[in-house]
Order: sequence, then C-alpha cells, then structure tokens
Amino acid sequence: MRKRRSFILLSAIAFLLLIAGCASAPEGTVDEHVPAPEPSLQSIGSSEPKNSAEEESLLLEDSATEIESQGAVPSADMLHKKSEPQSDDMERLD
Amino acid sequence: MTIVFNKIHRLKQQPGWTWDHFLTEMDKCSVRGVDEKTLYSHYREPHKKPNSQLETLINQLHGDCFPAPFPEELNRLMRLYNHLFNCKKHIDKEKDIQDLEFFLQQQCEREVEWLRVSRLNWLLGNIAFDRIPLYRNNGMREPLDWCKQSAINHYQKSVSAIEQHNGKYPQAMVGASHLYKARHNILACYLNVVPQAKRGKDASIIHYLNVSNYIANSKQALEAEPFQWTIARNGLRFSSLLENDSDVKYFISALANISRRFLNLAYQPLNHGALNEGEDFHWAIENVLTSDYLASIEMKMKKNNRGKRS
Repeated sequence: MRKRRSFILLSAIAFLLLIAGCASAPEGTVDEHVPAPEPSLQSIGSSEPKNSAEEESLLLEDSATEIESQGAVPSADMLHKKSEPQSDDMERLD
Repeated sequence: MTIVFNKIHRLKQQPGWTWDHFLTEMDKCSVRGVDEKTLYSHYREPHKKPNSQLETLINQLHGDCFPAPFPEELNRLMRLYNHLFNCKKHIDKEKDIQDLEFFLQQQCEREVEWLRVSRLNWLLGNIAFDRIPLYRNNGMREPLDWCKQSAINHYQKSVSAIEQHNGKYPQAMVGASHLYKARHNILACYLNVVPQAKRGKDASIIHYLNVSNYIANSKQALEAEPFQWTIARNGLRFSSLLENDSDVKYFISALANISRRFLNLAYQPLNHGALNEGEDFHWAIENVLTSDYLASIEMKMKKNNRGKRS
C-alpha cells in the first residue's frame, strides 16, 4: 500500500516538474521540436497550391510600411489604420 | 445617426407626452423599464452616453412613433454596412465593401421605386463618403476628388428621388428632416475633403455654403426642432468659417437654450469635441464668443428664468 502511494506521489511530482520545465523553457528550445519545412519543396518550386487567404492576410499586415516607404500607392486595406476621421470632421447622417 | 438625446426630445414633443405617459410607454416596451431620473437626465444632458438598454428602448419607441419612410430592408442593409465599416478586426473589409457597392450599383440601375432609389443612392453615398478621410489623410488627391464627387452625386440623386416621390405621393410625403440630412451630407463632403487648417479659406466650401442656403435651412430646421444641438453646432461652425458674427450669435444662443453647458467652450457633448478644440470655430471664439459675451448670455438666461418663475 505504502509502495503504491509513494509511486503515485513520485509520478505526480515528475509530471509537475515536466510541466514546469516546458513552461519555463526559452522560446527557441520549444520551437526546435517543430519540424522545419522541407527545403526541397521550396527550392524545387513545387506546384502545390499555397493557402492564399493566409498569405494575403500576412502580406496586408507586413508590407504596409514597406510599400509606403517605397512611395508606391498603397491599397485601401493597408491604409485603414490611417483612415481615422479628424477630430472635427462632419458626421454623415443616415 | 440620430442620437438618443434627440429621439427623447422628439418623443417628448408629441402632444400628451407627459413624463408619466413617456414612462408608461417605455414600460409597455420592456419589463425592466427605465426610471424617471435616468430618462430626465438624458433629456437634459447632451453629453450623456446611454446604456444599451435605454438606447434599445428609445430606438424602439421612436421607430413606432416616427416610422422611417424608407423600406425597412434597406435601412437594415445600411445598418449592416455601418457595422462592417466600423469593425476594426475585419482586416480586409474593403473587399467586402467593394462587393456590396457593386451589388448596390446593380440594384440601383434596375430600381424604379423612388424611395428605394433614394435609399440605395444614400448608401452608395455613405460608402464613398467614408473613404474620404482615408484618401485625405494620405494625401491621395485623385481618389479623394473622385470619392467626394461620387458621394455628392449619390446624395444628390437621393434628394432628387425623394422630391420625385413627394411630388407623386403628396399624401405620403417624406419629411423635411430627411432632405435636410441628405443635404447636410453633401456639405460634409465639401468640408471633410479639406484639412482643418485650410477650411476657412477653401473656395468650394464657401461657394457651396452660399448656393445651398445652408445657414437659412439650419435655422429653419432648428425652429421645427430646437433641441437639435448638432444642427446648431454645425450652424455655428459654418457661421465661423463665413466670419458672420450675427449668425455666430444666433447659433450660440440656440446651443445655450438646449443646454447652458455649451456656454463653456470646453464642454464636450456626446461623440463630439469641445468648441475650443475645433479649428473651424476659431474665428468665432476669437471675435465673438469672448468670456464677457458668454457671461452676458448666461445672465440674460438667468433673468428670463427668474421672470418665468415669478
């Protein structure tokens, strides 16, 4: 009975230590467990269709500042952050 | 967007609408109701933000007493667009707005009923109107001019359609307040395209103000509904841009009659900035709305109130 209790206690402690270890691990070490994408797929130029919606939304977030700095005409979506009315614009009425 | 303050006043203005009657009508709409103090404070204070319960109740009551003349499905579509436009989390909403715009344009071409034509154009005007700050803030002159012109054209078509409807159905005329709103939106297009610092000297704003008779129309609208502080505030704004001291005096008195708080130039009514923070009011504040002048209005109002009590 005692042996059984101490086994359960030890397992619980080991489990807690495992969780605590994962939580305090630096980000890099956690990422290392994630398999990197196969380089060969990209270098060969795979015809595999990409997730276009996901790619587009990432582009919208990331490229706004870059495009502005290049002086290109940004799209309406990219400029939404700058579309706030002035403090004393006239409101439209419905 | 008609604010709850105006709706409470409009409801209260109806014959037989004492506070008791008002509260009874509200009780009919909801089990929880609203207490008299809350209702009265929203009637008196233009800066008070209503909670969602009060807003829903007042909207329901107002809708029952003053049914909108436009088809309900188009009013709901307009609400849907407003929610879409104001949604900050929807990152590529412009594409959805463009799709909606295309649908509306197609509908507009096929539509024959005047009120539907009017409302579809109104919504198309709103879509173009809402793009104005975007292009203005980014200094994109060409699309800005295009948006301004598109919004104005749609609002003008909306006005014409209402006038056609009123001519054809004199027994079911659309009220003057809707025509006023559409014309207000046209003026807002002229104003909002210009950065604040340049508005006083912008020839197109001044020209439109003169040809549209905006100041006279605002005074007329205030005579019918003296509680409309947004109309009085805009009247004051344009009187200031036109540097007309007698009109400035007219509109500041109208504001003071709605609430004496407006005599404090730092006062912020709901969803609007203080007068002393707006560039558009600069001339009026410098030349007419001196502290002595504002104090004299307050004194006069106090005297009048004492006179009424005795």
